[in-house]
Amino acid sequence: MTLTVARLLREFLTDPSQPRHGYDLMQATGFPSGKVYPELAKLVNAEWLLREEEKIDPAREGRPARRLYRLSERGIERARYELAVLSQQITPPARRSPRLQTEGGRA
Amino acid sequence: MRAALVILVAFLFAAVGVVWEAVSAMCQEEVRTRLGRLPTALIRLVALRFPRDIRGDIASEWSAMVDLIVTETEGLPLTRLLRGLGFAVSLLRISPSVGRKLTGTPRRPFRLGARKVASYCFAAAGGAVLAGAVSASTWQHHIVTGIGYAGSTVACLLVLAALRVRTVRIRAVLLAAGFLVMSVSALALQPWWGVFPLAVTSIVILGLFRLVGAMGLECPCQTLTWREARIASIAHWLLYWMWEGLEGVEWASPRAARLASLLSPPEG
Repeated sequence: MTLTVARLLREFLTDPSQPRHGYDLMQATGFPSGKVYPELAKLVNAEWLLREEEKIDPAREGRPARRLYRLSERGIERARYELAVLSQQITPPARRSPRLQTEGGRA
Repeated sequence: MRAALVILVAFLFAAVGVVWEAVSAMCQEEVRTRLGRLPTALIRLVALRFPRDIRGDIASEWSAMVDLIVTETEGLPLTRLLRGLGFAVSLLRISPSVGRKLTGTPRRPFRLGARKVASYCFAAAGGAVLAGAVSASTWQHHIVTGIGYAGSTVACLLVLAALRVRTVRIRAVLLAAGFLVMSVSALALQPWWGVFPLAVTSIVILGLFRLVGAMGLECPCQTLTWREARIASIAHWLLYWMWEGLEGVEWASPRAARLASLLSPPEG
């Protein structure tokens, strides 16, 4: 899993029920569109994300319908697991406290 | 009299000034509007790189995002332009295969639809009929040779489809066949041109195919990739030298010369 994918998944996991659009994810992660959309494509292809058209009346809203992405059930499980594994892998090891030893060795 | 002239000149200057102001304001407005539309135009351009069946979906997704950027940056034309351009330019990096993954649309298998067959045959057989017409000596021959070429093209297409050769190859082979017949016809028209016109004809044909594609008609190479173009070029050369080996050019050239002599104006 790349860092880009991890960042995107983390954004989705902040509220899994909330569908997000591409520009929203770009702003949240700071990635450009050319980086976000290929990763979204991979996740859609792997069926971790669901892509759906916003259900609005464009004439009434005065704007075109957006394509929204949200995590699938499988995606939520897998994303949580993979992020936990990644987090575990990149967590720095606990710092060992230096042991004090008696000068003359063991008594 | 002099006072009237001064008033007239002053009036003219004032009028020119007003018109100049108005025109410059209009120019500014025009440039501002055009620049504002630049990201949307770029999105449409980027979408053209994607396969036709998903192009609309992709373009509408990204256009909606540009619309959002425009709404967000209301009253900030420069920010709007920079953000919009940044969004659109960054999308140029995306390869067409990403579009299929994004929309979840599988690559369409090659289907021998009537429209596709008709358009392929039209594209390939157009050159074939021309070659036949040029190389044959009588009108009966024109028809027979033309139908022969076109028929063999259709037969080739059917055989390739039956063998389930990948679409990419089919398009490339058809393109090569089109190149071949056009090259032969060019060679028959101008036998002394040699090998050079083959390349020229290939470029012309590619341009014609592109033009047909731009007109919205189905065409074998309207979305031709470099890989396909390479396959087509190699296949074309192989076919050409096969033709050469079979003395096809020698067969066609005297007929073309006869046709040329028939068309040339009488001497004296």
